[in-house]
Amino acid sequence: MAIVKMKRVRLFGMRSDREELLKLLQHMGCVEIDEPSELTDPAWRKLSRPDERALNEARDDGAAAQSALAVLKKYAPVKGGLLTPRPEITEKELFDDAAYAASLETARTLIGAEQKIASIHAEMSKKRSQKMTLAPWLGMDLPLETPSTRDMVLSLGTISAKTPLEELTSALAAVTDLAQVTEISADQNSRYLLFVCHRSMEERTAVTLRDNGFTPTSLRGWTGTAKENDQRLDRELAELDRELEETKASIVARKDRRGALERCADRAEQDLKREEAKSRLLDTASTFFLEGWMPAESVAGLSRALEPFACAWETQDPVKEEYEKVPVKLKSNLITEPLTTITEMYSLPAYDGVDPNPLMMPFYVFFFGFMFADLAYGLILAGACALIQIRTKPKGGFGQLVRLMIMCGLSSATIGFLTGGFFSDAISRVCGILGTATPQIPFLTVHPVLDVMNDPMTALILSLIIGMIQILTGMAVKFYMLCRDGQFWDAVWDVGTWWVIFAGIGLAAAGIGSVGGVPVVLVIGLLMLLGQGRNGKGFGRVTAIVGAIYNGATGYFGDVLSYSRLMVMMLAGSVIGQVFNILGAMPGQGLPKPAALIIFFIVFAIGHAFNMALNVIGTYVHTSRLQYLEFFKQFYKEGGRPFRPLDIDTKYVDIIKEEK
Amino acid sequence: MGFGEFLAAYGGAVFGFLGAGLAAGLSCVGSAKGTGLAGEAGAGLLCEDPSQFSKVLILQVIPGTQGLYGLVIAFIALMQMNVFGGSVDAITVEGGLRVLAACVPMAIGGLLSGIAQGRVAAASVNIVSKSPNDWSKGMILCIIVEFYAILSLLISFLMLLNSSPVA
Repeated sequence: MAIVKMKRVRLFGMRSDREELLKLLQHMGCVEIDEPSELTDPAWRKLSRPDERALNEARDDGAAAQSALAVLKKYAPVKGGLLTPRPEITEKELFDDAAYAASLETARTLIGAEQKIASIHAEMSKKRSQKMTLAPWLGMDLPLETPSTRDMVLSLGTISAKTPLEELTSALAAVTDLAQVTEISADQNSRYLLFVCHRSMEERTAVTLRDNGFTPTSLRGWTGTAKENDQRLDRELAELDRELEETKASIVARKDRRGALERCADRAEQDLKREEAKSRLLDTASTFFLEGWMPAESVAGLSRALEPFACAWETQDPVKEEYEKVPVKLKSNLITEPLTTITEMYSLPAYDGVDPNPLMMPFYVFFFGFMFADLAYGLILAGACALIQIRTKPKGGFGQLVRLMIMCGLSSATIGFLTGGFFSDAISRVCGILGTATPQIPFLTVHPVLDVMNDPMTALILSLIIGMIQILTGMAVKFYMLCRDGQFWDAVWDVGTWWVIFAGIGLAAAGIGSVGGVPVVLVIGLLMLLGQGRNGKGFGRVTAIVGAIYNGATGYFGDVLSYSRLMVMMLAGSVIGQVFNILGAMPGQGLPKPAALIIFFIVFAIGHAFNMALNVIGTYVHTSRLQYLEFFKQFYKEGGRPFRPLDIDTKYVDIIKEEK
Repeated sequence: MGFGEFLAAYGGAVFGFLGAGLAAGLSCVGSAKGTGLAGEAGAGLLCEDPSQFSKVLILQVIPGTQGLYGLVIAFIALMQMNVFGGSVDAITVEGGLRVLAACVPMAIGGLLSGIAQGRVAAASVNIVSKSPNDWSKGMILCIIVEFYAILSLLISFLMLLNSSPVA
């Protein structure tokens, strides 16, 4: 339970072994391969980088599998809830080349089908717009390509629907009787007209037409009448529609390949990780060079695994200057591992910091339980999370959160039992409806350890005391860290001073240890504050002391007060729950008992579901906040970079461990 | 009947009801504004990406809790005044004023925190649109504002419990 000691590893191997060796490292999952450190020797410059063809290939394959999955999801969606377990396969099955090639083929087919659907849609919308263009001219039995002749001008066009046709015909009649206008159709905006006139009248009628707002329409490129064309387009559209359905069906028919595609995507992701690691290597003609980090505890295992290979390698402890670059891995056990999600959301500790998980664990679980305190709520939360954990074994941050909530749920249930919370005061409320006496259950209904509804002051003081304990713990860790780094006197002046002051305040309040009316311990503590000036010079000493007093007093005071939220959240949860119980019981007053119970349970179910959801989020936020702002502030040194070894990390499947 | 007598006869219930009404009314206004702000922002996102409906909905309902808290306080005020027991005549003027004063934190806290939370929720809709996987962080930002509505609720609640308006 600490930060894992890392070693720098350097390795020269034969290029012919390179793929094999990288696969072995990925299988073992214990080495993070990074860029070689700065190379000062000119001989290093001659080394080249491996080519990136395989990297790009893996990237393309992964993208293909992902887009194929997206296509399947679009046309054949599946319902996958929180409780759908991931399939389990062996590593060998994951890296099965034949299955991989087949899945990639499927992926390409699916992507091809999707592209075809897109082009069909484009073609269909083009034809529909052509139909729209033709629609006004359907009533015209003249082929659309009919040309003007030497003697006769023929033109199609539109005028505004607001202009009556008679206006145009009479205007034309005033100019010549060698022209004729026929209305083919009309809609809300326009009248669609066929205009014919003698060639000699072309120019004079053109003016009249323009004055009346006649706009020529071009239907070039069409042969046959509008109607014939329209029917042809309909036939083509029907054909396209059929083709579209067929293509969609061909996608849906491949929905049972989803699992294979998911495996394929996972495999491509592993290949990609390996190739990315490879791109950080350096090559000579026949050897390669690898540099990276690995946990010290894995060195023996790696040494055994490397025996069959012709390679030379060494490991080295990082020096203090390198600490910034050393990746951080937290060594956790079953109980502290779930806290990693909380730590990571803040920031991992620096390599020379301390692992906060075991320090934070008891406080986190207790605070959550204290705020959420309700037997029923706690059991529901723990039960739901346990179900998710057992069914799907979730990984990563979500998995850690689920496991954390199991512990927090159990703690809430315990504290809820001791403080008399079961859906707030549901027991006595139901008994009230039934007219029976409330059962005498120790703690839950009689003599609770803490009755926050009727005695909030005790709860408040208890909260502040608990907060004080956490802050003192944080200070103790700070004391330890300073001593570990050889700064014993800094620890005494910066941390010890406040301990003496706190003890002095406590003793003075209790009236113990006063000599002649002077609280000695407190005075000693206050005098120790002068030690804050030890690093300043001249007036700087004074400002350092004043600053330390001000920051310390306001800081610790504010920090401790902040723990009042423990009582606040506890009280808020039970108050809102109680209000729902009252609301549920009220409408049934005077009704027969079964009816009253039914009404009560409807309001009860909705109200408590709401209260629980709100409280889980609220409690999670406030519990985390107390760790981040009040606890970590005392000692935490953040800024660690997470350890990301080359390993097998799958999204869709779980790998079963097998002996190789 | 002089003003003093009038006040003595009816004032208690009026002040009490005024308190309960302010707690419920102002908190509901806060929630309505808050959910309204978040809803407007959410509708904008849903035009582009309707599949985010559930996330947007959750963000929108978060500022709705203040209205509920206001209702709770109003409700407890009415219970303390024994309104459901039938008669309101027994409420003294000072009792009614105590109820009014006790309701003030919830009224102000609910009104302003609802609006403030609505603005955070509306801004968090941006998180849903740009990086849907991180939307829970937006929710956490909203819950931080929630804490102050809860504080208002609690202090009103504690004062009401000890207001004993019925002589």
